[in-house]
Amino acid sequence: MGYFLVFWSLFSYGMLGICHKLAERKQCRPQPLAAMLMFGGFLGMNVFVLLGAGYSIPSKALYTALICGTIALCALWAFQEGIKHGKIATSWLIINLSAAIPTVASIVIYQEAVNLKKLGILGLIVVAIVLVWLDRLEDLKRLDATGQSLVNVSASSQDHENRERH
Amino acid sequence: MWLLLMLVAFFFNGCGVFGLRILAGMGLTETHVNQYLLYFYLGGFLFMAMVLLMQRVTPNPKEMGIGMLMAVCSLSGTAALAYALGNYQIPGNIAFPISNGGSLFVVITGGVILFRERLGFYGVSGCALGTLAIVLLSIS
Repeated sequence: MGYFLVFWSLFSYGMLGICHKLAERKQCRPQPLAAMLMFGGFLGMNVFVLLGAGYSIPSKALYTALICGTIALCALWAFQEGIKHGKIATSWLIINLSAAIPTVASIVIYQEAVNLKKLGILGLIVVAIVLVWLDRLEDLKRLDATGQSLVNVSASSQDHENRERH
Repeated sequence: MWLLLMLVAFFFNGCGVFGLRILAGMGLTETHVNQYLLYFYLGGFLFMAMVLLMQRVTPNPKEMGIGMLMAVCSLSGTAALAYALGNYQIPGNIAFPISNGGSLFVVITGGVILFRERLGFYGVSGCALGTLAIVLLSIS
């Protein structure tokens, strides 16, 4: 049952990524979509809180939650705007790689130990981001080349029509 | 434009997740994580509700449906992982790499098969290295 739950979480997070692209294809606007996701999350968490210890939380944790929720919403908004211009595969990779930020922040703020393994992983993350950026540049070059050849085809057919008229 | 927006999302998403580390620093992870997530979602919703009110924009049924489906996916993923770790004692160094690395693989495959996205050499290499980095980060 434990492993079934792990695979269920894998499937759920995967579906979440696919829904982002589906929303973009269905021309959903990023702002209302992000609002509905946050509202749905809030409604769902009510069930867990009511089954648990209730709504009380220390004020510092409350402010942290409200601020971090707002920041995460901005991430969601930027992500949904961004996938209009790129692929879900590489975009989802970048959003997953953001796990590097808490790792770096924990090292800087909480003075967590830095070891060679952590540095190696952070290096891998930087290389991966550069590679997907290069992939995007290749796509843009391909689009430019396609656009240019379409312009050439259209210009030559226009030229041909003009000559036939004369 | 794509890279700029993705870097903004990368930075803000990482900062949003860092809140859980702050909660752990307060020693409240064991007792208040559900309440934290409730107010986390509420904070995001209230901010965007104000933006939408100022712009006089209302979500249409399609946005409501897909937004709610995404919320269900997000919550069910988090809850399933939490139950696997807490109630069934699945070790974190097994559960996190499967969940994080696997879901990334599902999305990349979905992008290629369902949305007919083409990945070049750089894209495939980036996805492979990135998945490896996420799996290693989850284990560590």
